[in-house]
Amino acid sequence: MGEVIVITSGKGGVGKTTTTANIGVGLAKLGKKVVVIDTDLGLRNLDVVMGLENRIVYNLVDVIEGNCRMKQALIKDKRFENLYLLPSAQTKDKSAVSPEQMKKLTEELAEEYDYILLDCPAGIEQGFQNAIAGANHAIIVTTPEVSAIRDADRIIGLLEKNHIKKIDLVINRIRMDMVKRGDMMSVEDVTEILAVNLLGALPDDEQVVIATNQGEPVIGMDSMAGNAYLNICKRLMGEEVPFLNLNSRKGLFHKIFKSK
Amino acid sequence: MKNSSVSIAKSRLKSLLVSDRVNCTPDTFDKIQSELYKTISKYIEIIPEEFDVQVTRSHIYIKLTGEDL
Repeated sequence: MGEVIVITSGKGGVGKTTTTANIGVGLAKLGKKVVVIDTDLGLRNLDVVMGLENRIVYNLVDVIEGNCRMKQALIKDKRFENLYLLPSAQTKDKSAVSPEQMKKLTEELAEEYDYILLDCPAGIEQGFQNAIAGANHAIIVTTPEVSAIRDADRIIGLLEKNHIKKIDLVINRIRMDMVKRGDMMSVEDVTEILAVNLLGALPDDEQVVIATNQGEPVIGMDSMAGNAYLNICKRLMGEEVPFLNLNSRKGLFHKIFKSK
Repeated sequence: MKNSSVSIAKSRLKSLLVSDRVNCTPDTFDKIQSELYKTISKYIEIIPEEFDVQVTRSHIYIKLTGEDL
């Protein structure tokens, strides 16, 4: 049986879609069979981040309504044989899908794939309820900002209420220069406030913007964010990987600085 | 170092999360805290400096002594 993981945050724009895409690519790279699902009906994005937007024929709603078979809607990734995308519908709204239907769909996929990753829409309404319905594990993405952390806390409360017990935290867009000045909360600060298991911390890396412009994953690139995502994937697979010390990465900072 | 904007953010978050978690205003929470103190002090000898109420997502912890939870 595969593991069904929802990637969620409450607040929009903190990096859910980028995180979903990169964890999907990373797990596939490590040899796992992976499906990533865009559950944001009406605001499809995961296809663009993965560079697969021109290959969409059918979507999530088509599968649920029985307009096509699952196999017809799954888009094979450009680089990885064992990575598939189930895109969202651009013309439907949240009410086109119910939590029960999503649960059935993820159960079906879990029979064949090792990991099913659900990219959750922002908010706590029906889109969120749909995305978490079939999940047994959640990854909360947040940034070191008051608004994002507040939303993450509410989301964690809602997940606990919905009996999702395995909850991991990813802290995105950390700027060590600001942390050092005391102008940005540190990984330790955020983890302490939210009191959930830390799965990974990502630096605010411009390579992510460059990768997204090109529809490529950042995980293949020689970048801090890419390495951090790969470590997240290894931890998900049960490996104990030490956390990158974003503080003492002088070598890499120096290298980046020098290459400019 | 800690007295720049991070400490402001952390103290704002602290009261924000408490009021989100118990669904009340910071003022109401202060009242809950002082009523709990009054009630408990009727039966148990406690001193105000060592009394603290902490709210997590699933529990309310009442600290009576100087010990950490």
